[in-house]
Amino acid sequence: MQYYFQLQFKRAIRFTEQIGLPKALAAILLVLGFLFASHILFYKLASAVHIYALLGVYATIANATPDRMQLLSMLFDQKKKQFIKLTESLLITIPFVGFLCFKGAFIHAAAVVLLALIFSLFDRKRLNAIIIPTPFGSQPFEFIIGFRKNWLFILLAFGVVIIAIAVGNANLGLVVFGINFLVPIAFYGIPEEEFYVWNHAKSAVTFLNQKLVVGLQHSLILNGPLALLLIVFFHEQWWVVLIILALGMMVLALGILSKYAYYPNMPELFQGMLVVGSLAFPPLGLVLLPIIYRKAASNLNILLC
Amino acid sequence: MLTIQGLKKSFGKSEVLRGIEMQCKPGEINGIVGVNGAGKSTLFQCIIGLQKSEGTVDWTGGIIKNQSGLLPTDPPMLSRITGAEYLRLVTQARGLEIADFQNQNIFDLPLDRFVENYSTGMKKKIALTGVLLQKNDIFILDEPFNGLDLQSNLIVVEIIRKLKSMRKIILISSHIFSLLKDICDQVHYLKDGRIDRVVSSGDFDQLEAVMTDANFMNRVKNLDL
Repeated sequence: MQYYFQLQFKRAIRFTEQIGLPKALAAILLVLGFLFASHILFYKLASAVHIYALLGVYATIANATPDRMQLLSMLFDQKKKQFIKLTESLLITIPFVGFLCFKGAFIHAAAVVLLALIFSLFDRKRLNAIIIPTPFGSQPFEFIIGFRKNWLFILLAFGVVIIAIAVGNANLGLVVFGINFLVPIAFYGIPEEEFYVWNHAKSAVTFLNQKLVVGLQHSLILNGPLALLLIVFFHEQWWVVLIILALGMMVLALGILSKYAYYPNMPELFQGMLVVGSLAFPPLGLVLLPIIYRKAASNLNILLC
Repeated sequence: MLTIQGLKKSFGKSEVLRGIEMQCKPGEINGIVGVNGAGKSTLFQCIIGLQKSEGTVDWTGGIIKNQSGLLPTDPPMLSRITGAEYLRLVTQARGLEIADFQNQNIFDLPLDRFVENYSTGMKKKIALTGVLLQKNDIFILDEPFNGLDLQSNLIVVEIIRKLKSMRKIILISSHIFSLLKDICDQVHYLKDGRIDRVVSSGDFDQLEAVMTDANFMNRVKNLDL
């Protein structure tokens, strides 16, 4: 069991090497990034503590993927498997619990630990076998997979926006709407097998254009209802909703293009930098769009013609 | 006619294919045999442009990749995609819109279940169904019989014969030599990165003898079990 944890640590180090970061720098960036994001959330939102606690619980659920659980079942007996699941869940909650305690939200911190422990007792495999209907069946790929993997998070986002409307907190609704718009970028984070790109009887440019159109259409289907709700109930903030919508679509387009600009390698770090940079300074995103588009088209020419 | 000339492929310093020369005619079933690691899958991927290689691959029918169907040895499956959605994805990739796949579900697969939960044989069947629905002109089938039950193997053999009658170009690799003997017009023996010999039906037994290492019994004996 000790070797299992050592291996997990080694895998994390290998991942940082894979994306080209020295491990010390990666650790520092991770800690600083987490603290910065946490601070921003609490600084911008009055009700951040609820969202933050839910994010902490969600992180533990997201970690227990069916594949990993199957591997644990193959390697260890039930007792050891349960111990590993509990230990991993607690380790993941540490940064969230620490920040919540720092903010004096001790009840929320305790709730995160308790819920993480409870969820670690359940197996997601049965839940994941359920075919969740989605509005993305006409073009079954990134959004249908991403929606089925993240439906809990998306449901949560819709729930929080409805709560925000009920309590009249426009800022909370707008922030959650913005976060939900960023979720689909993760759908484009992991490159598919080259077989799936090669299969397309299209030129690289046609392939990319279709990816962009479908991605933006599906993103609107996913977030359109939230945008409408926010415009109807907080109509004085309609322009903020439209700005988030425009920014979200630009960032999603950058996410899609950056995936194929570095395909078949994983573009996660590059995508992250693009998203942060473009959100902080939107004109940068507009400048980068055609550059990354050309790079992606040139990169895909190897597989498509 | 599919013509392959001087096809070479290396991975680092390891030269896997050292100048492949082949010709495949429409309506002809071409078998590719060789030991594990001989480079059969690499050869297939180079032919259809899934891997970069040196040499030329010419086809008189147009752009090869747009009209080739590849059945990989271990078909990659996406998570959270049902069988029907998988078929829609691979047919849409070729610009085809098929409303209902039930009539073409020749292997009676549960199309409403996630493909990631399919067995090895079922994954092979859904991948083959997808390749067939794409209406390709060139079929590259890498170990199509692996993991399939007897009934499915018979269906696959019949499908291949049907494709032959439709004058498609067919390349198959398999370690089940008896099946290749039944269906192939010629078999190419891949050895040391080259096509060592091409044998036509009638001489397949001769090739089988060449491929069988006469010393394998001694090796088993040396295991000292």
